[in-house]
Amino acid sequence: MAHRTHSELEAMIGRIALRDRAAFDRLYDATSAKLHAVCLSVLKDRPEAEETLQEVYIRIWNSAGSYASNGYSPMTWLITIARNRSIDRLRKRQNRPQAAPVDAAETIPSQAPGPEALALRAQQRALLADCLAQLEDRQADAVRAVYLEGAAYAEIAEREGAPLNTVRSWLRRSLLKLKECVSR
Amino acid sequence: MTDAPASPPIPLTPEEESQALAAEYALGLLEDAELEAAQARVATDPDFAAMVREWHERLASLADELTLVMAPARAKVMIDRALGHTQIPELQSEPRSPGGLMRWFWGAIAAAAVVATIIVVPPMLRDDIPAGFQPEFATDIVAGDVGLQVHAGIDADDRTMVVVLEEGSIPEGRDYEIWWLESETAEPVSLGLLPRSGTISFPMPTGTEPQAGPVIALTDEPEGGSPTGLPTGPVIGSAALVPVS
Repeated sequence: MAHRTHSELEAMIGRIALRDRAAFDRLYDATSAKLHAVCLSVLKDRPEAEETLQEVYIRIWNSAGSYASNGYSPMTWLITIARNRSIDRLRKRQNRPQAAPVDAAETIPSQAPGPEALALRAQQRALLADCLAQLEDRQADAVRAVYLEGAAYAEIAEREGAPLNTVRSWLRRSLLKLKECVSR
Repeated sequence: MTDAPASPPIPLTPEEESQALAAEYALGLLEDAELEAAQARVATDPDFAAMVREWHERLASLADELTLVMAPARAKVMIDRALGHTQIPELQSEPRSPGGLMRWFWGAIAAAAVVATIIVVPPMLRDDIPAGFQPEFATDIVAGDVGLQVHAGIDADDRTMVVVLEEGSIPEGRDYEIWWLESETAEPVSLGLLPRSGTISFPMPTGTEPQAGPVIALTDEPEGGSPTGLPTGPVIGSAALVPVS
């Protein structure tokens, strides 16, 4: 899996919008191990992750045409599709109501990419890690569990042995703290 | 976390409330009525939609913590099968990337070419083409589903191309971009934007030669044209240039 830059990935998605199968193959080669890791992290089940990964790339092929206007950086767009599909599947397995707006990343309108979308990914990653480290451990763990494992409030509450509303209240404040720190 | 908080927490400000809700929506933490309300708000409140997008951007780098996991080869085979991508053997001499793009463009031509040979009329009969314009090659692009008819002609002597919007209109906020597709292996060359009405004439860009065979295609693009320099939107119509008799 070769490392690809932001603009290379954007060019590939642009070509996929034109039904360019070779570009689709290249995007798959460049990104499937990461998206598979996202699916696996949420679903913790190989066959389900593999099936979800297939749905993800079918979705990418079908909605590449709307990518140019949605304002997402390419990796975020791809990861968000993979994460949302995986969480949708996880909630179905748990018999919970659907919580992930599956197509949100494809349909949210935008005028232009925000400054954060244009920031270098490595910088973003370092900054986010720094800011997570400034939260209490259990708060940072909860944010990771929600993002990477698709944990719902009910699961965090159970894990923490705390009422759901209490957990929700401190997780919301943790997220606001995180935003404030990252935006500083 | 087993103890109830000693004092009630300070309520969030309206701005904080929106941010928290956007984060919860982006993370997939909302359910039922709250989820529906947030969905509706994304569609109608651009500031809120931007917050959601920023949360996605902000948190996506968490995925970089994950160890990469190669998917088994069968996953790609299943994807290709589901999308109806049959394996087309690549020619040794054919560059891989434009190949797929051009196959797709040339597939779109097949339908339009028949129409083009029937309806090309001598452009001199058209009253909206500049005086003195003597085309050697021309084509008509007809896109019945959007009610569009476009004529393109080339005067080889002075390398001038004329494009006429004969019928139909371009949707508000969109542009139709004109592309020159020389061969199945060449990169598409942008010829500019289709006029919203009437006629446009321009010198042919470097790298394009007046001749029969190249395809003129129109794609649906954001206002101002493709942001990438390559076609990004669906093809509205396309047709090959033919000699004007």
